Amino acid sequence: MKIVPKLTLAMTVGAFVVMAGHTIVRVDREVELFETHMQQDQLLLGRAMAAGFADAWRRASPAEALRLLERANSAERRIHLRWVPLIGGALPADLPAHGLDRARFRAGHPVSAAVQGAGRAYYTYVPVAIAGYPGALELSQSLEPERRYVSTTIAQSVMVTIALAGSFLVVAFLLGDRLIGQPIRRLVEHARRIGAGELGRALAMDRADEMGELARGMNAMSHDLSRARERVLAETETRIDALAQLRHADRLNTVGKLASGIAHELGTPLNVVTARAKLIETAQVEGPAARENAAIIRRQAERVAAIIRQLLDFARSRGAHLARCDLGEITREAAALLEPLAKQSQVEIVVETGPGELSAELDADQLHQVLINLMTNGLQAMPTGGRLEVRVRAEGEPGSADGAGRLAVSVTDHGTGMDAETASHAFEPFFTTKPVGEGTGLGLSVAYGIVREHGGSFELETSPGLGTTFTAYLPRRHQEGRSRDA
Amino acid sequence: MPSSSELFTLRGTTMTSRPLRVLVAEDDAEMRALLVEALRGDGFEVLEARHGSELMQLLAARLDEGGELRMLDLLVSDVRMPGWSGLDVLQALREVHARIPVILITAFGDAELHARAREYGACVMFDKPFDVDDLRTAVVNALSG
Repeated sequence: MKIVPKLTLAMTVGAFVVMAGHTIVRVDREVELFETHMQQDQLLLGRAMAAGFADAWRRASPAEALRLLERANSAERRIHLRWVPLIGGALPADLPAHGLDRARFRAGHPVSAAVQGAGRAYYTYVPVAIAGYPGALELSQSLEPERRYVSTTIAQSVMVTIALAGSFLVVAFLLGDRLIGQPIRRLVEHARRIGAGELGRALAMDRADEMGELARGMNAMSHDLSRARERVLAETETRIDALAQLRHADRLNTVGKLASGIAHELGTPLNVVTARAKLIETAQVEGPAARENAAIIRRQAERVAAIIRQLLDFARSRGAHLARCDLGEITREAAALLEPLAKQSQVEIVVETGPGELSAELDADQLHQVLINLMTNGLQAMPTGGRLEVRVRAEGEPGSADGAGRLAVSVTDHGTGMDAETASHAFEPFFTTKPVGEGTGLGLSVAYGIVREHGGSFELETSPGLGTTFTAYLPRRHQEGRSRDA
Repeated sequence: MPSSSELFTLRGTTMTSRPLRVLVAEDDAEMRALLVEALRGDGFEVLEARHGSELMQLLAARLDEGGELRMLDLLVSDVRMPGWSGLDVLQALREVHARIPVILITAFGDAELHARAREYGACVMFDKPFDVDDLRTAVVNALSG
């Protein structure tokens, strides 16, 4: 129930109770007054008649006295008179009136009482002093007119109360709606608009009361919110601009690094090629020396070609060709391929697989390359030999709904390790700590790119002088879109 | 192009009669071989360093208290090398006031790198790929200066 009907109802009920109470009190007082008047009338008449009755009894006869009563009864019909002889000096017990003050009567005073129920009447008994015949005059008067008066008064009061309450209801409702209902509806509507983000419009409610105060408060709040929103929008735009600039700078930085890397990787062999070619061209070298120079030129050209191939791998546009395959198997194959190189460097490659199912949706060729790159990196970190540990294990629940299950493959060397600065650049293209010719700085970048394209991630743990562990995490089930967002 | 023996007179009377000695620091074996071959062909005695650390060891062994590098007349160094970079070495040499002409070779010499090289007193800076004959000329010019 809304506020205005509630208030109206409460006020109406209150008014109704007040009016009904007033009516009850008024009717009660009038009934009391009515009975007092009736008693006084009966006493007055009773005393006068008692004197007359006793006089007629004594002077004429009892029959004369009774006739006097009959005449009085026929003259005055509202009050009925009757002679009641006393029994043993007291009023008889079977009188219609109950609750009479009999002791007062014995003391010689008239007594009165009302009889309720059917035949409602008011009775007064006035003692009559006749020697030898003690008695009393009974005066009785019907209370019916009183009852009719009370009924009429109550009926009128009820009607007036209902009419008043009805009018009150209508007036209170109309006034309440105008003073409270309408402004509240407007305030609620305004609050809804603010909630929906419509902050520009102010609520016009020029009132001096609390509603006006609330409206002014809401307008101020709306204004503040609008200003704050403008500020946030401006700040967001600035941030977006700054982010775009950062991205642009980042791209430029990446392009710069790539250019620097390419220049370094290609510049050196090209330098050797041009210088050696010039030696042959200008006949500064001849015979076996010229052949030796030509061989150097070929090797350098091959080196350039290899760098370009790796660059293409790095920037490859082909997506991963996914098929369910066993990562353990791929790892063992890669380890077998590097075995001769490992032996040469006196490195023992130890492959540990499992436990658990090690299959996932992978591009076997690409993962093969990742493992070759990681293991080669490990081998080169241990020029004096050692142990290269490769572990493949399953993590998470393979059957879980979100495909949370993943495989982890880690390659641990006990070589030189990296300092924090080197580790932070480890995955950057062309970043290398190896002498030129031993590494282009693309191996880890290529591995990183492939793992990210599989929706996976890389982890690097390293400690200078103790060694390095690269761990690639690969989801069992490839999720669309992840590789691009990554 | 003057020969190594002609340079003795170019450098004045303080020169001994030993051949001029050039230290070539380059981590790429083929590139190093090319430079060494070219400079030896011009009559210089050439020492080789395979990376920055080796270069530093060689230099440290030859540096005397007066800032002179014994039995060494010129340094030709690549900038980007494992360990000490050519620029780090050049800076270290300047800090100990070593007097030796230095020619730097870089693969990607941007303006900042060139500026730093000049600041540390490199004679010339070559960007790969460059003409080896130009380097030979620069070596001669540096030693006759």
